[in-house]
Amino acid sequence: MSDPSPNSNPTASPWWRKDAVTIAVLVAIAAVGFGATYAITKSYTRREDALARRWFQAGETDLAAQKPKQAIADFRTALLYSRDNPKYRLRLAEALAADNDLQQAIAYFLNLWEEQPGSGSINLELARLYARQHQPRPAAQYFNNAIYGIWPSDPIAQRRQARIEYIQFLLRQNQQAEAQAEAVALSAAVPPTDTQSRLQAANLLLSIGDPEHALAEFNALLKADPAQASAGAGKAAFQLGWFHSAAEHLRAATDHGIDDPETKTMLARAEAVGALDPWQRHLSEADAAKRVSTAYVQAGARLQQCASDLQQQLDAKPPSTDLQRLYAEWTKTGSQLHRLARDPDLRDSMMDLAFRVENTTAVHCGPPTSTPDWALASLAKYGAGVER
Amino acid sequence: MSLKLRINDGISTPAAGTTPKVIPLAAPRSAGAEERFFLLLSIFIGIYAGLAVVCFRLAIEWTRVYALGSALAVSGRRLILAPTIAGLVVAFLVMKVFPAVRGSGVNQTKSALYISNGYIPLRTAIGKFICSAIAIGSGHSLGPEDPSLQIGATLASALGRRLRLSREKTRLIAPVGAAAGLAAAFNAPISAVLFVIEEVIGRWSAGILGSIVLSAVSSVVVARFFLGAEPMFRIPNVSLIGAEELLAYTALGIAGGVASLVFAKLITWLRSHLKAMPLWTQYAQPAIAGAIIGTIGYFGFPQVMGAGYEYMDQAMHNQFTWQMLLALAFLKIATTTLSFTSGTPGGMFAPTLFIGAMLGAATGGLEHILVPHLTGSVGTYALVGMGVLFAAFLRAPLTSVFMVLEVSGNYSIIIPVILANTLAYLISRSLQPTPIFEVLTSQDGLILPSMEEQRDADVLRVEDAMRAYAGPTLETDELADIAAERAAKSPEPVLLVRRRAYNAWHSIRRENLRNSPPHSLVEQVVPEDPLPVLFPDVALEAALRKLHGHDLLPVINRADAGKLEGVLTLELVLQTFAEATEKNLE
Repeated sequence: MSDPSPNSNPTASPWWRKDAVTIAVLVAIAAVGFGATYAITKSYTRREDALARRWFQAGETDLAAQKPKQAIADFRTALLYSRDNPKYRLRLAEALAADNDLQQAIAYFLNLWEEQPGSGSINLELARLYARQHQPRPAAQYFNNAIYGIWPSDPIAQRRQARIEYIQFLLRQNQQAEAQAEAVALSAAVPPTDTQSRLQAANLLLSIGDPEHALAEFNALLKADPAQASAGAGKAAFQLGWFHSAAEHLRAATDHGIDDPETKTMLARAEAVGALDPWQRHLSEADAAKRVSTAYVQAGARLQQCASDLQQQLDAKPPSTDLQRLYAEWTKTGSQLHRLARDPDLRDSMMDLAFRVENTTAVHCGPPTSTPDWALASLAKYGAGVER
Repeated sequence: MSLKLRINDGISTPAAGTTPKVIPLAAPRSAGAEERFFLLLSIFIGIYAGLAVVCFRLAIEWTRVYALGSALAVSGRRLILAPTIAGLVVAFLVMKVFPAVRGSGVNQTKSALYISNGYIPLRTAIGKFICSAIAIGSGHSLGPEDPSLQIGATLASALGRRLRLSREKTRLIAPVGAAAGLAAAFNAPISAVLFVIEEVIGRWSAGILGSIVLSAVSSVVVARFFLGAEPMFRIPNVSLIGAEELLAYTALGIAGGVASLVFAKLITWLRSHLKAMPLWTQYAQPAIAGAIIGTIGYFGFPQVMGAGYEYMDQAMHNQFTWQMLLALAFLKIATTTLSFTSGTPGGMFAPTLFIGAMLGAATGGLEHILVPHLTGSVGTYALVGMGVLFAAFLRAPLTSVFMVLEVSGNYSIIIPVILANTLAYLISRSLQPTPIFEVLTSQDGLILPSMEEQRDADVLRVEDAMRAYAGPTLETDELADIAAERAAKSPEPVLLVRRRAYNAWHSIRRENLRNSPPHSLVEQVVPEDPLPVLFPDVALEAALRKLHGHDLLPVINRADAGKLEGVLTLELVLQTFAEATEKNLE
């Protein structure tokens, strides 16, 4: 058989020229097929988009109506028609979390995370879910990712909010030191002009048990927001045992309209400590003696009340219990009250007795409830550390 | 001219003595021109198949929305009514209009290649398109891949006929279209190429491989243009924790082997029983299957309806408990068996992947509970599980490995994939020696070549048949008288002559040498054309072709063409084949 290919016969026309008509027909068929398929695909895509939107809206409605199960089904259907829509996937994951289906919610968020590992919101959601699952290690990891992650809008506020949540999580985990470090970092990161955020940070420091930093923050905010800052500073000073300053700040807060029971109680207690403190500066000998005498009487009343609650006889001979021994001492000391004004050592020893009474009764009968007893116990607690 | 068809469960062949009537688009070509044209044609086949598969996928989705509603979690009476009514419609179409569209499409394509010279009527593609879309879209437990394969093959076959290709090319064009259809459906060209080579053609050949690759790639490009380039599943973070995790994958391989065995046995048993029932029952069988599947869906397992890709995706993302996954795997085996054996057109690829994914995820989930430190993500197990069932049930081990790699795009799981797939394949092979596709063809009364047998067959080589050369090796530059003297006592009637200058070999009969003119050189009396030479590792079939017209052929060393290793004769070849046949029979 002869081979009419170009190699064997240079004068022959190329193979494709012989099939030119065939190739043209094939191309034409392909073009028509493309056109038809394009039209069909477009039509179907439009229908799919409409269905996806419809089911997404249904999901949003169900989620708002606290029907997470239905919302999950709706969002899943929406994703059937718009498979990679990140918004739908995020809402599905949120619906799963709302339905307490933490495992699946985590699985979904992890999928989203794989695509956007730097996303602040996804990291925060994952952190929350792991926190709910009591898995502190991954929760901490994702909280940190969220704090340093990418937030599309208002990143500073979002990061701060993430850090606040992290601190609250650390507190729930009894990780005070870590929480304190985060809180200090939080307050340092707040812009000076953002009063509300600074107040929030200072309050967080206070709740963590870092009154010193909190007080500094509140003091810095006294001009910007005198009411809230005074209240916060008063509470911080109160925690530090600086009752004099606490009373001043709390009074200022009350003057600025702060009227909550906690502030009132703190103010009363701070003032009570001030009124009972016999070592206050510029106090006359007579006034000091009067305060010691008041403390002595208050301690005796507390001792008797506690013994009554425990159904103990205080005048037993010989005294066998702590309370009885203290009562014997208290009775014996009572005869020296008239010397208080002249004898500073006696004042100290009587205050020491009063403190021991408060401490012992606190052990046997629980912490003091009345303001005078609380003031006396606070003086006992802080001793020379009380601000004067 | 009317076309008489022999209908045998979807396999149609032109009746003896008839030729399909076609309208030629081109004149006959020379061999070289046809070769090049065939390559170009492969691209067009890929484009057409891609377009057809895109439309097919959309048709399934449309049907699903209209038949079952747009919600993912279908509920209510529709679950039962849709597959039942669809079953009735499909049964009518199959019995009355498209009798050749039964079955999955793989065997039909193979039969086109081996029985009907690549002939598949175009109406088969139309029927497959309509019937499969109705069946799968309304919830029958079948997949779109095998029908896509057949649609591609049919389009290619029709095109080949109209373009007046040679018989060889017309026969090979169907697998080219099959690869294109499968590649577009799977969105995975490598897997499609391998499957067609492994399961349809059964051999690697440079001529056909180029065409298959071109068609598969062009169809995937078209499918991605319209449907997007996203993979079939959202692949989770897949990883292998450590070597000890391979124990867990071993368990998965064993589970997959057993599950595939159950699946294959169930299909074999039920199909033979249903085929034996009266003809009129075939109108009702798809509807009854649909009703049962719908009822299963109605009572809490709608996931088993349709192809189930979205649920495979959910399984990969750990969204079912292991108990649920196990239930879904076994219910899918049951529902797919019902759909397939009832004669409803549709594929088994997607159900196989579904079962594998569920089984894999269940194994992973269970192992998470039992040995949490040993197992990685459930998604990895689901992915490997898909390959496991593919290897064990469809008996395509090579395709199964590449499919998982191609779908996941992650080579880090190659070791677990190979381990689990091989284990499942070996279990399935040892417990069910005949692959499911061959069981189905034998139930249809056809004898198609077994690709697995072909792969496993021992290849006889020249070294198995050759014997030592007992005569003297003559040289072309010696005197014929002396050579005749040297050969006088040789037992060889035909003598080998070596031409040193060219390392060429000739042969001469002893009496011809003896009768040569005096003082002549051997060169002057041997035939001018050198003998074809053989090497010890050449397949005996190939050697046989070279033996034609020769008494014996020299077997030489590949490193030294002048060194004779032995000789081969026709008798030796026939004797070796006979011995091998006897050995096989034993």
